[in-house]
Amino acid sequence: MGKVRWCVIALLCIAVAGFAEEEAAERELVEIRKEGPPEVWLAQLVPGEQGFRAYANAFPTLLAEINRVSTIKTAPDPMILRSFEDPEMFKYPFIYANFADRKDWTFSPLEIQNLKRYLERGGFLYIDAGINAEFLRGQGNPGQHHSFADWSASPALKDAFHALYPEKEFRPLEREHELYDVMYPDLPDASLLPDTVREFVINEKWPEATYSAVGLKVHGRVAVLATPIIAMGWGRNSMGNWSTNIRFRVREGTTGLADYLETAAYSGARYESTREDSLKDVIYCQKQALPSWVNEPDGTWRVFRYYGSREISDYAHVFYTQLGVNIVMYALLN
Amino acid sequence: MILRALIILLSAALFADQPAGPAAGETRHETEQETITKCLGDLTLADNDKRLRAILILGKYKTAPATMAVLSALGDKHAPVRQAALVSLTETPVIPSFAYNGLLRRLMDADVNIRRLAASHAPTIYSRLRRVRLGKPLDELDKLNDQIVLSAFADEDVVVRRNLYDKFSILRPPAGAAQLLAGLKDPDREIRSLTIRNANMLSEDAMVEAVGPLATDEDANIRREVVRVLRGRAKAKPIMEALAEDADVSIRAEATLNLIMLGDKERTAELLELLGNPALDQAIGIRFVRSTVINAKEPILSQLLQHTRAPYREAAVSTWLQARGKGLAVERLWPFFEDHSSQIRQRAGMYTKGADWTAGELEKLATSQYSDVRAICVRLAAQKPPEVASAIIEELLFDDSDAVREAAVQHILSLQLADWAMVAEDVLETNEFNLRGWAIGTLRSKPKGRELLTELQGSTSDHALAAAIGQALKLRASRARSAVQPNVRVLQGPTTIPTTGSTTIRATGTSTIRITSPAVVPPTPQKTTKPAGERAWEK
Repeated sequence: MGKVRWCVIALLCIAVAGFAEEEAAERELVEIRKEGPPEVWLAQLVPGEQGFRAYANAFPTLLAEINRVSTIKTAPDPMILRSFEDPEMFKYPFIYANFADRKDWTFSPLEIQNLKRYLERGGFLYIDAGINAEFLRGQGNPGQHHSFADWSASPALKDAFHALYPEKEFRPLEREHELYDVMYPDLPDASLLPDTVREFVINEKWPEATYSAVGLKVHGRVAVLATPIIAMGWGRNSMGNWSTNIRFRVREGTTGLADYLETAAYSGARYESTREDSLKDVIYCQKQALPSWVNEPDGTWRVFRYYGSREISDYAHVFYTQLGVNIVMYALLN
Repeated sequence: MILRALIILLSAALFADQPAGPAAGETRHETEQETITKCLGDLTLADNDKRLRAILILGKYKTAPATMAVLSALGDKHAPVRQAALVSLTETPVIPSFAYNGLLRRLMDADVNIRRLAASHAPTIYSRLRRVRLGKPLDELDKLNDQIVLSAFADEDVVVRRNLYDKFSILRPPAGAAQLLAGLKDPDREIRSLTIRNANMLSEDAMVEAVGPLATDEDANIRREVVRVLRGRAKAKPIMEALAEDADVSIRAEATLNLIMLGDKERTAELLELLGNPALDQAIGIRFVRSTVINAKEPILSQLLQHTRAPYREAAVSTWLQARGKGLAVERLWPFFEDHSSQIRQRAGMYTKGADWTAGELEKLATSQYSDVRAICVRLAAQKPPEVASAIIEELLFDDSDAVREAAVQHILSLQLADWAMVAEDVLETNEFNLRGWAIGTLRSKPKGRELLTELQGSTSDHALAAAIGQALKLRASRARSAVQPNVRVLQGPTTIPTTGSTTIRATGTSTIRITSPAVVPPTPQKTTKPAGERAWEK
């Protein structure tokens, strides 16, 4: 009889625990559901009266994603700043700027004054496409369609921030930097990518979900961050589908490639690109074509291959969105 | 195979007599013909790696011999070579038309990676081929292409099938209805979902019949797609009624909303109840609120306008004000100004036109706990006669909120209320550049303002301020509207400044600027200079 009673009590305890778990889950759901006014307003630099900006729906989509996946409640649309002269900038902890949206990055005296105050008091400025490889710079909107992993800020940015901090310079962000681990420390599932692409992405392109980035530290904190364009991977249209189709640039090699490429004809430009270890890649282009092959510092020659498929595009979108979330979350939490 | 070898040999022969190009820089670089000829020769070798190398390099040259060689490599026996050829031909957004048939064949490749890549490009390629053959009788090649595309829909690899269904509306395969029906029964959830989105390519009867069974799919996302695709279809009413009993609250709500749209108005109460369910997809709830509130009568209207959940209340108030907000009485607007949702308060602020606000009501607004309401109060007060406006706006000059103080300063300067000149001096000496810039712009357009600016320009030790004033004064007088038509308002009596020691004017970031006021300010309505030591600024 005693055993039966203890069994009944045990069953009751399990049932109560079960209910408690369900209640906790429900309560959590209710707590995460966000109502009322936004808690965080972020800003975007959109110079010019026309209000034109590249990838217009990108940043709002990223904000919606941050709202969806985190407990941070951001306003659905960024507040627009025309320049860093606008004192409104001090109201926002994070400013997003697409390098190509501003034609002249020379700061006015007031902008220098404001930016210094902003950055020294905890503000964070993220300049997307602030890294754009040399071969992209002649275009009207530099660096908007190629996330080329150059590890050096655009010369225009270097000059602009030299006026703010002559003693500081942009430095490559180490792969172990906490920014890459804030919310998504791992790459998305790459199992659907073609073998050659998967191998390159995991080991070289985005190892451990990192990305080519340079940062300018103020008071020991990364306060200005520049990367090759990633906003092209954020936007969704009104139907919820990705707005852009993204292809992968992959470096591929095979036996004996050096024997041919060292002397192979090329009709376009030849230029250098800075690697993470500050050594230089030498890139060869064919006329009116994307970069064709590369001579790496260790003497390896590889060909650039451009892969396009639905699963590649989807993968890139997921990664860029996760990276965007990591950047904003890092900025807000540090 | 023979054809391929012929193309390669012919291409090689074309370049055999071409002279070598000059050396470039330190390393002697070949001419394009030399490089291509070398690679074409490698394509005839049995060594897989050498053929792969040849294709990787040839893919970078857009000349006819190189491209034809890459095209022929689509049929290579070694999969990496075939894949390299496919990637080369699809590298640019515009795929060369002569490669269409060859690329479409890769849908039957033995290698799954190649089939996946081919399936991504197949919809574009096939739609272009279809356009070319429009109005012409099908030849054997067309029939073969049709057959290849249709068989690819039954590929064993789910990614290949997904890539085809994803662009179904572009692909439009022959006998597409059969493919759609097959897609609706596909074991893969994503394919079923993609297919439902394209189901409106079927006739209404066929669509309702085909999609209907998925209303009981075990996957809630599929059932949700069914509700969406059948929206507004009268023939789908029985399916919608079944979905209105779904276990998933969002599906239940969306189906109920669809039924209401189809005329089943008595279901409104059901949906009102569902709004209280925290698991409901907010977007559906908002859609219901927006569609209901405009013509809603009491008590449903009150329920929506006072809903406990802010997003629904916001949607209700916004929509209702937009439709009915013109000329609302103060008492009708008042509750909105007391709402804890700033969106509602600010929306209400847009519909104040036509309401007759008494001084007492404005004073009540000025003491609201919400800064946006106090800012609205400044705007409303500015529309009143100067004596009423001055009393209320001056009080808000020392508000805790930046926005309210800014609004107060702006209106005092532009209407030249009370001791506006003294206020202007204070503002111009702050380092709040936005406010300062605005103040200069406002003063520049008034004769008295220009006088004040000129005087300050000469007396200030702040070079940046002097420069900004100088620049503003240089602007053509014709642009200064009120310089031509001076403001007729007359300065009022003395400014009442709180007798307490100091008042925060504005806080930005971590910096706070404070104005320390004396216990008594002498009544100097026309004062344009500041006695030394009367006020001190500290940063």
